[in-house]
Amino acid sequence: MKKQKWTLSALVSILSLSLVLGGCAQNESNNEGTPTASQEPTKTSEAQAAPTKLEITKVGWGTKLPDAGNDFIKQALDEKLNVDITLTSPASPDDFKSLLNTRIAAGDYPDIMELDSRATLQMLAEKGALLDLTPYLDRLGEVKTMVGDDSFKKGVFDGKTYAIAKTQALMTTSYYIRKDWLEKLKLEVPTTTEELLKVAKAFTEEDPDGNGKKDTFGISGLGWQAFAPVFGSLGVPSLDMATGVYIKDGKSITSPQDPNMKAALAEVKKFFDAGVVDPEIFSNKGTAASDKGIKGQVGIVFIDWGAFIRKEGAENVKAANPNAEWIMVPTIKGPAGQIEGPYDVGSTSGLIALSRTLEKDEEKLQKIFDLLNYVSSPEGSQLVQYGIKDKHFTTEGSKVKISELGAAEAGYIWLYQLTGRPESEYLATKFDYAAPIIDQASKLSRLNLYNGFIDLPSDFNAADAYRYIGDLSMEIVYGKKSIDSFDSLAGDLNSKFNYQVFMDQASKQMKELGFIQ
Amino acid sequence: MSNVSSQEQVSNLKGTITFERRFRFWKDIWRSRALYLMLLPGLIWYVIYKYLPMYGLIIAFKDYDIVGGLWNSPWSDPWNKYFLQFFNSPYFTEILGNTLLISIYKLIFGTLPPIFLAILFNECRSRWLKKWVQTISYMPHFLSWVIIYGIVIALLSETSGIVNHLLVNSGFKSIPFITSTDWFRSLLVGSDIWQNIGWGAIIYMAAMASIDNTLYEACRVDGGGRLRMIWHITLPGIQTTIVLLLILKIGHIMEGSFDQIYIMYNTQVYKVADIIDTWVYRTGLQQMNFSLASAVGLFKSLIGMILILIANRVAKIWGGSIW
Repeated sequence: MKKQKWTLSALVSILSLSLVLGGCAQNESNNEGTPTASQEPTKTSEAQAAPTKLEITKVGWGTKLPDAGNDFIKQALDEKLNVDITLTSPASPDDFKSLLNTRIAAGDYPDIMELDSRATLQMLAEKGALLDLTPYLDRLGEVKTMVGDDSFKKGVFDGKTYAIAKTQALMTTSYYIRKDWLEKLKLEVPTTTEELLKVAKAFTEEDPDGNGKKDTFGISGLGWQAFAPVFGSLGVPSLDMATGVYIKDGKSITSPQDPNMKAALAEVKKFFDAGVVDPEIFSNKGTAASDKGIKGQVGIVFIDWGAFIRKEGAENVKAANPNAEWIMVPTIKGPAGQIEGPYDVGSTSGLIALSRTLEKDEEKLQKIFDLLNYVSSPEGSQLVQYGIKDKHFTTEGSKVKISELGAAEAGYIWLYQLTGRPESEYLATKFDYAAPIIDQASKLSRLNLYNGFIDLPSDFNAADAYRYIGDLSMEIVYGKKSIDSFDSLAGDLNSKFNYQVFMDQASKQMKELGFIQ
Repeated sequence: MSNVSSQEQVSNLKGTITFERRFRFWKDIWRSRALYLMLLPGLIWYVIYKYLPMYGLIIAFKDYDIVGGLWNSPWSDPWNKYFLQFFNSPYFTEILGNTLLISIYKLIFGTLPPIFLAILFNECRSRWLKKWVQTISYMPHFLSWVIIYGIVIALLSETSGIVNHLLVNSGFKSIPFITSTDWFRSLLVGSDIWQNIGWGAIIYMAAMASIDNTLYEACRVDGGGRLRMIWHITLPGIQTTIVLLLILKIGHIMEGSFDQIYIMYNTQVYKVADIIDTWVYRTGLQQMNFSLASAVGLFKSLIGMILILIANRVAKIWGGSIW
């Protein structure tokens, strides 16, 4: 009996010990990624006919990738190029970063990485994790045709091209307004800041929804962005771009230095003073602002075209109130002209970078260039935009028509748009009912910012500075501080936040890239 | 001479005693070898997963870069560069204050409700009611903060929340719960209590279950009512558990609760809600400044350890210390 007890406990501990150590062993094999990563390609190159394994990592935003058997894009690409593509798509940029960081720390690089920002590119390039693409650029002909010369500039760091920017997403944000409310209150579509304020006041006070209660607001949006056209009418970027870098009178300037900033903030303050702003404007997250629009709580919303015009949005609007009608407001006029808002020309929807480990694997590298060129070519681009020809879409001349199957099955395939897509063409095809409004929204004039090109100096704490600018401006619009306290902003930034370093860096890089003399 | 020999004797004696003791020590271990063997995997687990990874703390003193890794990254100059970066932030005192205040509020207001609930459960004579309420009350523990934030918005939003609708309809002014610096901390503490009240009660109920029933019988014989029994038997019975949980919580005072605050805060309430972890997230991780993040982490752990030591000292007075 006693002996049995003893063996039992020994068994228990041995089992759990092996569990502990087993977990540990697995860990170790993960850490030894470096050698396996470099061995793998040689293994595959031995077998001539075997498809080349390629791994792509990018943010998937929660899009569910079907398994390999049902992934018709993967199958088409694999067959066309004799490759075996594995796509890893963590749901959020943070997940992506942590995945990339662990992989890179372990030396186990994905072959193709779609980086979210220049900051990530800078960091990886500095550490020598990325392949210098400069000698290979002429082998990326189709890609260049697709994304344009400027996109090759966005991945330049230290004089070397480390990445290629994808085609940029269209900027379509603008004011949308309830046409039926305007008609009910006998008002015109506003064309200046004063008129905008007047309409917003009427929407707040004159019961536009006719329910006898004062339960509506004038303006909503996501934070400062909701006033982008008001800031724009004075030629400055809205405060959500707290340290926007732009060109004024041939010189690079950052928004806290611009004297017009104070005037613009004073204009915005009028809206807060009049009580016409959504009280939760600074806490609206995700779709909160457009939801309020759909529910009929607010009459003017600064938002992208999709919110009220896209089929799903439009259906929601009609379901909440069949009489509701949203129309786009043309950019309001001001002393500086018509500017709908800031637009970071240096920003990208993604930077395609390759792993440095590919340097010595010419064969695999060629396959990657083939892949990138193919998805940028007219044929390949159609594949990753709409799916399989004659199954998911049909063509009539140059016009593409998406089939029912395409609408149902092709929801995930944007993940394979490695170099992006011809944006306006794509949107016009996919949302043919909204083509004119998308076209109009994308052509609005915007203030070009260059922050995407500027590398943050390490001794400048951007997060603290952003917060300081945001806090001060909020206190001003909510009347806790006088507008004159804005005068000390630039000085405070210098003394407390080392802001000078950032300004110097900005003008230095703007010169280097040839944007200013 | 005799002096020397007696000294020798004493040292001999000491030798035998220490030898005896050592022998007995190993003998004891051998006697309960089965138990020690079962302890071994746990110990190894701690060494491998808790103690060995601590070498990663040197990141706090290095200009960490991902490719160089732990060993090849250069030492930072000066050695406390990243600690200084943290201490010199204009917001340092504010975020430290917020972290402590929010944690202390949670500690003060969050300790009693689960005890109270556990006592209610303990006194509840209807079995099915007790089971149901208990299950329902610990459910929120499994909800993520994103969902809880959704519920909070549905209830407390200034434009679409039920509570403000009721307020406005009955002639009051709406209250900006989510965007007001006056309300935000209460919101954090309140939602935290709501989430954890049932879960916390379970532990106290387990402690109550171990109280000797004869004590209650004796009290009943002496003519003690329910309140007397709660005051003189139930509460003293779970006293050590209360103190133990308190000590554990005090160790986490510097942690704040990142998930909750990150999901619920907005730029308007930074002043009262920005804690060390959210600041580190914005400055450290989003800009990939790992050295800063681990320097702050080390700072937090040190303070946490000191707090635990103090709390344990204090707890000894009530006879409820951990060690």
